[in-house]
Amino acid sequence: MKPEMRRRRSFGRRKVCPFCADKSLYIDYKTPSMLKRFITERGRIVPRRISGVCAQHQRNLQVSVKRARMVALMPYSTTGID
Amino acid sequence: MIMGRLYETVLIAKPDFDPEGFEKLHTRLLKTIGDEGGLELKLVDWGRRRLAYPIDGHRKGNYFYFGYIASPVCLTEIHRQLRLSQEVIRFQSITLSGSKPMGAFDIEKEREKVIGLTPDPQDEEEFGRRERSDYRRDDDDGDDRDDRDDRDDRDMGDM
Repeated sequence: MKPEMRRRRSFGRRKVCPFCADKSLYIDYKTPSMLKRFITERGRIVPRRISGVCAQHQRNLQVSVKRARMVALMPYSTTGID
Repeated sequence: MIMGRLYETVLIAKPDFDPEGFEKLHTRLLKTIGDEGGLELKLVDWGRRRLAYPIDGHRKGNYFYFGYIASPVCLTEIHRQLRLSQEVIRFQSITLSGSKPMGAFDIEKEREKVIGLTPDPQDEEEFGRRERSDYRRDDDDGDDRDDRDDRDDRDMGDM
């Protein structure tokens, strides 16, 4: 393979929004185990350019994560010391 | 005509809360809701869970989930009572529906909307680790004295 071809291929496959792909996945602040997939180890919300979530679902996700944080189902931040 | 909305409230009671006191609070809330023509649809006890971060020094809490139809005025009253309660350390209410006349609610349908699904059981290993580090918390150390602030040889890992 030519080197420049490899470089061009770097944007790779378009990610599909997991919530659009699977309609049964329901975004809810009461399911922290599901939301956990979309936060970093430190507890930050993963940007959708990384996770591939569509704009609408990212918005719902963001609200849900914040609600989950409020009732201590999810952390605001994790220091890693613990 | 009294207008109402569908609400859900998650509240966290202290880990060593008094069930009787909580029952009293619950009856008071029911009365508040009922007086305004509202209705409780669901009460789910999520049980004792580890908090993702300490609240008022507590590392665990007893979660309760309510789903109910109430007027907005009623909701403020509920919040007032929850704030006053000694047992409750945190609460959060979510609006699930728009404003409708109280009579217009299809109770069964609304009941389905109120999914009080219990958050999944916590990761066992992590939970076990936290259990051990929780070992000498003030909540269950068997005396009635508060923990001393000046001693940091205890579990203060994340402070």
